[in-house]
Amino acid sequence: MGSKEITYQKIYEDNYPKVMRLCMGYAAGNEALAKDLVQETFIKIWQNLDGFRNESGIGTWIYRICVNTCLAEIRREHKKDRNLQIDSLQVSDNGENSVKKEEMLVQLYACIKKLSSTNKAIIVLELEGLPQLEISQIIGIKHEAVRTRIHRIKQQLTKCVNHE
Amino acid sequence: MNNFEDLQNNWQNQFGVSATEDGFQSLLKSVKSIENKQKSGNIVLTITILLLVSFLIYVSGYTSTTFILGIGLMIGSLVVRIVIELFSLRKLRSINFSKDVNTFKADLTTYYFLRKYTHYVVTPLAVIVYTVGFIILLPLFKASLSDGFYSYILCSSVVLLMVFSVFLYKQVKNELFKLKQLQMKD
Repeated sequence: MGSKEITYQKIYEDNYPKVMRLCMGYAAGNEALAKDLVQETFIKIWQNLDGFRNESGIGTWIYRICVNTCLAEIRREHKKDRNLQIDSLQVSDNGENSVKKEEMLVQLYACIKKLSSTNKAIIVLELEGLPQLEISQIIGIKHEAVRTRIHRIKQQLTKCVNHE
Repeated sequence: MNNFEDLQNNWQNQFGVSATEDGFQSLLKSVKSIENKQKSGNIVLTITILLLVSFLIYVSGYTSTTFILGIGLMIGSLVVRIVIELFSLRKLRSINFSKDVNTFKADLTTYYFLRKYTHYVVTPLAVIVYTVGFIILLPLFKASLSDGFYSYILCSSVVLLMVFSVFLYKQVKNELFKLKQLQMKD
């Protein structure tokens, strides 16, 4: 493998879980669709790798490519895609709480799905635990505006998950 | 009752989302295959255009103006449409995916907005010109081909036009849906 391939493999291994979670958020828990989006994201990463100048940090750069790929891949929902593949949704807890947590995750995906494309990106990045300043750099809006928006979406999302 | 911290904790502890060596190898294969496909796709399209243009130059030696006009309209509309599609594809590929989301969204919206002109003006015009060219050729086909072959050409072209229209309709519908989603206010 050449040096580009080695760098690429490192990027893939380090970032696959977060890219997959983000795509699952966009795909509303549809694992097949999420995997397509992950694949497309890493293809774009390869295609843009030579142009990466480390101006914004590799993490921010990857998140931008991932969100933009999900945005570009907006597609019509087919009837067969509407049912979440619940079998594939698992949380790292094999105890009694596991089922409850899986149900919560399914509900969370359904609630994220109701948001606009930009709000989806903002809240998924917030769920990932990214600093709000980094979220504002990824989305391209002011830090203050992101803070206000996150507060509003958090309330909306919590209400939705709790069926309020 | 779940608060946001519970949701966040649950989100970050999703299971079964780790990278595998097989996954990476298959990804690398796809990346290389896309690069090869793009190269071969460009070669095939260039050869197609060259063949069509050479054919047009070759038949221009014939004295029948009706034939030249008909074939010229058919090939011309096809070449124009292919060139526009190639240009459009290049424009889409040049959109920078590593820009911030808002800038990217604006670039993508502009791209799909401009595509509306291709769908609503260029494509219908190309189909009409192509069909006119074909209709101009029909009397020549009737005079020089057997009845069976003439009927075959007539029927197959109608079927082809219908299949092509359905394909175009789906593509336009999909792109307009994307544009609508991108223009949706937050």
